[in-house]
Amino acid sequence: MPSYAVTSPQHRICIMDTLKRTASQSSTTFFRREEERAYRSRRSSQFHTNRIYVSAWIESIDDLLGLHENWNSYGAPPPEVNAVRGAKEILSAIAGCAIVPDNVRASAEGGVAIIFSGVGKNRAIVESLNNGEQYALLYDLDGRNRTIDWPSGGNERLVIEELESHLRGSLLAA
Amino acid sequence: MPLRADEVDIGLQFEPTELLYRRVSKDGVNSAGEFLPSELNTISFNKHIDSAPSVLRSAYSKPLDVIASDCAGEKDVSAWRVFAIAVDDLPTPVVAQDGRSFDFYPVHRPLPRCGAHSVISCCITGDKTRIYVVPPRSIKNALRTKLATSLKPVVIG
Repeated sequence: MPSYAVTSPQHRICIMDTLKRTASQSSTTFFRREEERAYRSRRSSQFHTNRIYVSAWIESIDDLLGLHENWNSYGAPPPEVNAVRGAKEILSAIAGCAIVPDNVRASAEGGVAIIFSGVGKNRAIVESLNNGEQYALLYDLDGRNRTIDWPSGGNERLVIEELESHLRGSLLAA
Repeated sequence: MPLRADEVDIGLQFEPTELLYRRVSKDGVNSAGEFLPSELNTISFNKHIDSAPSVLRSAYSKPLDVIASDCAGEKDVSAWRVFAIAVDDLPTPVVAQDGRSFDFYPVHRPLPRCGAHSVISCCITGDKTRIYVVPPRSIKNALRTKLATSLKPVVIG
């Protein structure tokens, strides 16, 4: 059965090769600018979509305050107001990033868990607990893991970058 | 019906192949069916060993017992899922970032109406007295992660 599948990256490389040989420097620059503009547009659109998703989580997260003691049948306490407030701040911090939670639910530790799935086996959970602890738990399905404290006071940029990198597939140390 | 406390032998050693069961609600797994570490509570790590992470030992229980209300504090968990891990697969030892090493091991702690009830306890590696200790956050999370990723779904038939 004939296949008409063409992988676009190869096609794009062909175009650029042709341009390099035949087009003027200015037209090559023009195409590069157009490509960058399209890339920025896609990224902007993605961030806008992510922001909408995260905003929806922030709006619905107060529902977790309605949970009862022992909601998981193993004695877990329900999330408290301060844990929910902390989770909202964390969600606000990641709202402009390229990552979106899979789910936001109560943590059996007592608090809120923001759950992410990444590339391949990489996963992450950011928890905001009733006792004030906040951290990102980066892990993979082979059990490798790393806990990073979530900094307060707007200094979370580095942790978010590590979280993004992990979800994109960076390997954890054994 | 789960066995009662007076129907089990508390002196029976855990075999390496013995299974430890844990239940979870349908929302406690992700879309791929993976057990989430956030479903494991280690906040109960304290001097009272009975509040360490709970499991049921397979020597005295079947998967169906895990979702019986007698073993769930009278809560209706009949539609929940059951996962299991073999004793030999418990993540131990786990080394903390400060170099300390912690062992995790099952302890049989029967409840009046749930004789198979056990907990996963924690001590410093090499501590022959096995005095219960509270591990640091990195170790708690390492245990939660390794347990969650090692727990395998059980088909209840």
